[in-house]
Amino acid sequence: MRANRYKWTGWGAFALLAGYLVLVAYPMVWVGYTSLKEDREIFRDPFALPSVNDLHWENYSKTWVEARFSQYFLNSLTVTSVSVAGVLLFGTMAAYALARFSFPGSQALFLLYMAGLMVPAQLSVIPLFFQMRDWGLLNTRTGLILVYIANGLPFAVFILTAFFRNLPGALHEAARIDGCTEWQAFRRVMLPLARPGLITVAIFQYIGIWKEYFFAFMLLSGHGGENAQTLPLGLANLAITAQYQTDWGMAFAGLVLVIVPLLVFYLYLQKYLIRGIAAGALKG
Amino acid sequence: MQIEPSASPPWFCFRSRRLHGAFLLLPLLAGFFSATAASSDVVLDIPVFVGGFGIDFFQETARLYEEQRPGVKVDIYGNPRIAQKIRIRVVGGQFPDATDADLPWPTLISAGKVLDLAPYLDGPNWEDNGRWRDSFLPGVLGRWTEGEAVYGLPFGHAVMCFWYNKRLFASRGWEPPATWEQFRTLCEKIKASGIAPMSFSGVAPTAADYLLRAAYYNLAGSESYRALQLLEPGVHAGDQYRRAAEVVSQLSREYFMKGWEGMSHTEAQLQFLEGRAALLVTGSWLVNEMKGKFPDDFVLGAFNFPVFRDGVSDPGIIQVGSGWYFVFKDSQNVEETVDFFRFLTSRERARAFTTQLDSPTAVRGTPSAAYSIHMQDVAAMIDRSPGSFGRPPGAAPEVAAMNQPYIDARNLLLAGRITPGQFGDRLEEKAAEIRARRDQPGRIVWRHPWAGSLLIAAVAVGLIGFVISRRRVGTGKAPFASGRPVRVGGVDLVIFLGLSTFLYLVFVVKPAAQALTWALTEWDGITAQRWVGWLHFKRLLFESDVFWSALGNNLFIMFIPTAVVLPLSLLFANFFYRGVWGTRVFRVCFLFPNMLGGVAATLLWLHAYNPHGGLVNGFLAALGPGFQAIGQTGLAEWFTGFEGYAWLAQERLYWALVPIYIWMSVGFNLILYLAAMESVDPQLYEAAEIDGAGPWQQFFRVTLPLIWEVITISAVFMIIWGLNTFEVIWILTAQQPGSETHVLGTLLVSTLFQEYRIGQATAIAAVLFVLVFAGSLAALTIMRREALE
Repeated sequence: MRANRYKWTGWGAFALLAGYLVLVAYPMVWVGYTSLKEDREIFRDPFALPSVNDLHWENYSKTWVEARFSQYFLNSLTVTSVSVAGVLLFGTMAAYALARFSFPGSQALFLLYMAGLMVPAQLSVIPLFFQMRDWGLLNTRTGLILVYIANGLPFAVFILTAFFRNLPGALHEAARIDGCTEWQAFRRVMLPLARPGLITVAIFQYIGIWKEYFFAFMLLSGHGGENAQTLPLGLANLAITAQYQTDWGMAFAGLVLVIVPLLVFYLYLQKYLIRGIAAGALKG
Repeated sequence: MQIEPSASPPWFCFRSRRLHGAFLLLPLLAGFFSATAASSDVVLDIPVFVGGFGIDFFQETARLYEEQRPGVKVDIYGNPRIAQKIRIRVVGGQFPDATDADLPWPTLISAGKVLDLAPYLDGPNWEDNGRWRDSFLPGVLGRWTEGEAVYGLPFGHAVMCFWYNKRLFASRGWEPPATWEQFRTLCEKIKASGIAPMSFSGVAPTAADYLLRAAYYNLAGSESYRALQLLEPGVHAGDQYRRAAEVVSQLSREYFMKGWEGMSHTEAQLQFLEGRAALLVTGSWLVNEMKGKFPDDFVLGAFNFPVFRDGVSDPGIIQVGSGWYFVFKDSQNVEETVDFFRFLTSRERARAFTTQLDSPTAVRGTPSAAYSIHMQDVAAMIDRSPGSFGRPPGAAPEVAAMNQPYIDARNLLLAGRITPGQFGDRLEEKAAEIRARRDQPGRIVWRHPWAGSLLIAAVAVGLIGFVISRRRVGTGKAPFASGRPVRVGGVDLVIFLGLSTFLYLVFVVKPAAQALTWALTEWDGITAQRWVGWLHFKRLLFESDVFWSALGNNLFIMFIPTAVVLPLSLLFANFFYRGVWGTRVFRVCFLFPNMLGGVAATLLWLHAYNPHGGLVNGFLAALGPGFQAIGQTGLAEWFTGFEGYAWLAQERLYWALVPIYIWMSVGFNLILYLAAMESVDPQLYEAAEIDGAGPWQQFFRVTLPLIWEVITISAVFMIIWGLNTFEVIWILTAQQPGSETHVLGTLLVSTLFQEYRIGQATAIAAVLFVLVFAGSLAALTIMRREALE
């Protein structure tokens, strides 16, 4: 197939891509080695590699312990995992029901979910703040997780209804004739078939929630929220603290601590990720 | 989690509601509720601002106090942006016992939330050898005194002044100036010697406020100084204010170090300590803040702000700023909290503060021996001063309304975009507006009648167009690909849809609907909510300059980066589709920045854009010698000129965002396009090839039309993303965007937490929602029409 295409494999295209690659990658490499330098060294010569005899590893220990990155990391991991699991669980069931059940108001309910795709976080966040306060959910991971799940549902329903609608109805009927309940038919027959859709939703949600800042900032900034804060908040804290205490080394180390685990996760899963994005594009 | 006794519902009600929520969501909750430790001790909750002084001294004081008063625990903690957090708590009604954070104190005082300390101040001091009131430096308590009541308690006490390098001055024979004339002569000498006269931070330009205040106070005296703060008519447009502004404007024009626009305040201080600039204006926290950054042979000197020859105030009067502690009336531990502050302001603690932090306090009787060599000049200044002045209290909420206009005008003045005369006139006009609004709260000035009407019309047309196109197409009920819809009973419906719909309604739909109604009310979160109808919308659309410039900035982010990102992604996707060598590696690398997220990406670029010591300028300046070598002198100079270039200066900030947005989004879009290209039937290309179409023709005639839908979707994504911009701007502007640099998202947060105008903030959110909604519908309509054709 490829052989039949015009090949644009000239050096020009390659050089252009390689040039862009440097733009993408070098800033991160720079952050990497600068995180081992001390403030005055960074200031005097930003490009210079740190001297091997004088590597400032304490930037990392300070960031991990003093700036509480260990805590933020754990929080991000918990909040993201539980939220994604929740979105998948509730989103699949809702999408299945909306795609295949016939009941009065199903069309209206579907549209209500779709409207959620267009509600900016800024609109709901202020009343949400007061509601969370009244329910004692402000500054807790639980509260944030519930908000993430609820906000992830429209996207999940959007993608997954498309999947469920395209599944052959005969399979479902066969399962029902064999004596399955609705739940069993869903769980045993339909759900496994929608796997590609689930992966797409999971990936999008994981990335989205992992880097989410606005809700986390609004709902975890109060008293006691320090223990529940996620990595984006920790990183922003560090940036703001650096304005007062002049600790650039720590800010760079914080960046590395965010980039590296993500990079590992990313390289490991990039195949699914790219496939997931592609599937999302074509189904949407 | 903490159950605040001060929260409005009674505790049993509070708890039952929480349990109600918990019960429904039990499976998710396991392990997340942290148990509240029961303890019989009184625990004082005192969040504090942690700036240059750090927190160690205060925590040490807390431990010492606990030793003296068993049964009391003092929880004193904080960080540089604690004010933001306490603002959120105050709006939420969860008051701490006391704090020194920067809150809208006049509003809180007039709402009766702050404790009057006068009865305690008339009682004994900690040492029990006099009235507590007499422990403080003369006149200091006056700032937060209203009538008989005293609301604020001063402790840390900063002196604002000029700083210089003593060794450098001695070696060149320079002398600290006494008048502004001498100051100018000095700056010319410094400039002639090849050193920048003054280091200055354009990112946090508060030093300009100190200069302006000092000059105006000297020219006009204390009465006029107060009149200025109270926005009395004619003061801002007066000649004296213009002359004070001239000082600032001349400094920025002629004597600031290159790149000041983009330097953070610590960077400006480092430049000064490294000897690249001779002078610096800041508060006396400088020494402690820059601890460990002083070169070995450096000795700091300080001199008071110069005076005018016809100035009326005493040249020895110093400008000060104190850390003010306020105790909340709702505190359950008023007696213990006040007692703790009695201890904090004892002589022994005051001296310990000075010794440890090398900084003055508002408490009398600390000897100059307690200061280091760097602070001797400041200690002498305090000793000699017949009095002091500072930022007078914002006596009324109107003063808070002046804050943003003042910041905007100051930044324009510094950038040389308005003259000192225009600066005064502009502020006079704003002051008149604020006075008018105080007298007639519902008044609207129709400043943007056309823009506002146009926006409403555009949204209306969009909605009508959508409805019409929908009618033409039919109801758009999605067809089932196969199989009939299943009829199910109520139980199955509840199982499948119950929880998810409950969550969705409670955490998305209800708050969003509520926001739409709150937008029609006026509420500060403290006093009662009041119905005002469409007032906020009218004000935003027809009166507010900030709203329109914020919307303009949103539009910039929505379209300018998109216009680069889409073609670039398409080009790269096409390269990949055609099988360029190394496709896999490129694809993986290009996508990664998208995974990083706004905060990490912004932080990375923030450092890359540093005027001195940043990656971008370092790279560009390094190209200079290269061009020099091949004889391109002009280019070489142009590139070398980037050393110190301030990319993040206000007026260029949004252009500097373009590379960040490209960096973050090309990878994602390109994968979307590649996927779409892969799904095109290859026979179409073969057919085109047989017809003699070359690669470009194939791209434009075959690829582009067939993947047009995906391109539209990605454009809509980019545009909605641009409307929702928040963290990028929030971080790049150090949480204080000016009117020029706001986007709607940051404007909303500032309105909510800095001005406490909840109604206005929700109105901004509602406008944002309508725009996103209308934009998405318009995009859907266009796409559907294309799909039909």
